[in-house]
Amino acid sequence: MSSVPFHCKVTRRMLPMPIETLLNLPDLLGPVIDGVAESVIVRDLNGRILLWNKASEALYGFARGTMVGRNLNDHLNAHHASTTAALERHLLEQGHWEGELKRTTASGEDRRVEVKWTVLRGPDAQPVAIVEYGRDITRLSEIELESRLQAHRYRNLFQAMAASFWELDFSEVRKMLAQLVRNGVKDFRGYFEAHPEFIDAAIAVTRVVDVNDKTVMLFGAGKREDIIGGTAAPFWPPESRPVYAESLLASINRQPNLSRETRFTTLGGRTIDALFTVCWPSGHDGRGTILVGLIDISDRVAAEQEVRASELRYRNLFQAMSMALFQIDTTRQRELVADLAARGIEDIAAHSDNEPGFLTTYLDAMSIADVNDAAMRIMGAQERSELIGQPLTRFWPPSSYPVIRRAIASSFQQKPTFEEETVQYRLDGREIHTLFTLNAPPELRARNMVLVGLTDITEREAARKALRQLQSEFAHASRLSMLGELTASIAHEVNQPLAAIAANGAAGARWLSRPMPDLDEVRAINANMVSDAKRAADIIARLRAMAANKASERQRLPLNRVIEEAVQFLHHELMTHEIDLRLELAGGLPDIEADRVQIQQIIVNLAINAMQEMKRARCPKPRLTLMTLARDGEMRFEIEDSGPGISPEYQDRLFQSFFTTKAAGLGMGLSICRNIIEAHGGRIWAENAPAGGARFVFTLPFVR
Amino acid sequence: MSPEPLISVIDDDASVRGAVISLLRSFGLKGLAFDSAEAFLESGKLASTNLVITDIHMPGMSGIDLKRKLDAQGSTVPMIMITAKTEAAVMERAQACNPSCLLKKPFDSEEFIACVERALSL
Repeated sequence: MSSVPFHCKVTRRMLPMPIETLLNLPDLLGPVIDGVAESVIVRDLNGRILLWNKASEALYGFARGTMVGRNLNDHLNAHHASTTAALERHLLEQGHWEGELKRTTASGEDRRVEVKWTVLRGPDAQPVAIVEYGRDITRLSEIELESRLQAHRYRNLFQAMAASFWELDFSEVRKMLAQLVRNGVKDFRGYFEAHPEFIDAAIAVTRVVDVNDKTVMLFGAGKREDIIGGTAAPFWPPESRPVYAESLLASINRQPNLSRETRFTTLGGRTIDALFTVCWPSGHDGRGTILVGLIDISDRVAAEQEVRASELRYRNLFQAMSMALFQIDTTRQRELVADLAARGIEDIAAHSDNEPGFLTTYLDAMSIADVNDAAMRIMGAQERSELIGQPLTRFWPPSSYPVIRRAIASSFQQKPTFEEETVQYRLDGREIHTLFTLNAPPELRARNMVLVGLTDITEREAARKALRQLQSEFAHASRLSMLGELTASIAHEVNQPLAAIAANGAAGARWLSRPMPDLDEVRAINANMVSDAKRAADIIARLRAMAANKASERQRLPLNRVIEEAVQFLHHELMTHEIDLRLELAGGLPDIEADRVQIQQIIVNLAINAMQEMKRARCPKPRLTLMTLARDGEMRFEIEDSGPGISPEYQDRLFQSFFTTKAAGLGMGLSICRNIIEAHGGRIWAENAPAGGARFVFTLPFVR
Repeated sequence: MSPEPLISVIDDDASVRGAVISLLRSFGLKGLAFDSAEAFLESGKLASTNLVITDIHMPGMSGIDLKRKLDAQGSTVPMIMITAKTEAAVMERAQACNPSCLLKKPFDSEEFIACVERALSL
């Protein structure tokens, strides 16, 4: 506002005059308005002229008798950038209008006339007439014109501004201040604080000189005149007294302006929140008026209250969450990053790889701003204060720094969340397994905050360990249980040479008991017997410390569930080898009658074999597909891998005992699998899938 | 036992195969060795074979499969099955296809020869 030539403001005010008097006593009014140098015209709402004074006759060249009863705008051929209809509309809405019109005089001459229109209202506040003050400005000097134009612009600005503007007469207040000085008051601030009645008195003598339309609207006035001429008192509630006092102090200290948020009261008694700005036009030095601008910020205040409420909800949620939550202040971390960026280092993740100790600095630059109760529990804190303000460094064991590095990388990719399992320190230094969740949405980042959630998964990790232990025990049990099958398998293996030895022995005895023993035949038989005996001994030697037979426990089972359970045992291996596991289990299959553990052992065995083969072949995207289907009246299970498939040279020997392609393998797995399946009345075989991987298939009869 | 009968011996285990042939020979019987059921079927010796002695579990076609196949073809050649397996289920399935004899390895040679003679006399 300081750029507006405030001193150029032209003020004119209508004399307060009862409308009845005006309209009913024209004879009295005539001489009065004839004495005015300005053109004064009163017209009714239809534009018909009611009054026409001498100055009007002089200006436009039309006699009063000619003009009364005629339409003003039509007769004077009024021109304005807006249509006269628009001007009239504005006039009726706002109660006044002022501006320049081009009008044509009786002699046909164009005149520029500055007019000010005011609506006169009847006792029922309905408009009854319009008074016009007019002044010929055709012959004003260019400078004067420019000056008027400026004033006009200011006027338009003053009126058009969305803000409420007040022109206040401060002169009485100045006198009060001068009196204080004379009374020896030096500490005005202290005096104002001690004497609120002085401020009240000052407010009561602060006169309103002018207000704009926005003010009329904002303060619920019917028209400007409801405010103008009165004092500021109705609008200044006691709670805003300090702002008035501050304004006085600013004035005393010759500050050019002062802005404060404060509250005002409307004529209707409503309270509005406003941004209050007072400015002293340059060089006013105790003269004239001061200008006050008000911007209604009630909406903004309401929005802020909403934000506060929302924040409160956030706080409540933050506290109530069972997950441990940490609000992290990243102000210093941001500075650190900004410093690095200034040095040309943009890739923090890469930087952290190259700079030992950087991550410590990075973690040091972040501190805990707030925690919830769950966070106190997880960290073993009794008081919030034990955690608040702590840098993150003390919670992160260096072994977990790779997680930080990945979190940084994620953050710099603008990902709003990051989640990983890690190990952290509690306050007492004990390690806990946590699921670390970093949440950094733009709203939080904008406030230099990130939210960290921790879930204590120590128990889960313990459970997982237990499961791994269980798996290992299962594998052991599985081996032991397989020994039962192994025994059968070994019996089969041993029975072969034993059968040969027995047959050969009998044959040898026959040859020897002939009248002419065929010693060559016997010698050959003997050699075979020795070799078969050796073969049998070899098989026995492989038994090592194997034991325990386990009876097969058959029960009626759905094969799909048996497979799903087996897959759970494989979970760890599947994760470790990053296997893409697909289950294509047909629905509605009949049950099988089988030993659950044995069938699961086979599935686990086949799956582990496949995983090992894929790993050995460095299969880029290891995939395992487990399928069930019914075919040819049998249950069929297929397991297909994405490995290199089965070499033709091994194809025939796969299921033989002691055949293995593994350095440490016993070569019993598939042999045992075959024994189990055949003992269940099924078949097992291996083939290569069309896509190239190995496919092991076994069948089992349905329960009849 | 004359004229000289032909006995086809099928076993994937070479030792057992050889020992059976040897045992048969010690009784003056002629055995022809095959390492698989498929090899036997492809040899064309089925027509001249008087007795089949076969292992049950072999890669490819099993002894049981062979018996079913020959039955299906209408062949009446007798068959002795010998298995190193001990599971009841296997024995049941083998017995179900009605062989002349079902022997467990290691088998008793007297029992074996008795089976052979009985099969050939039929």
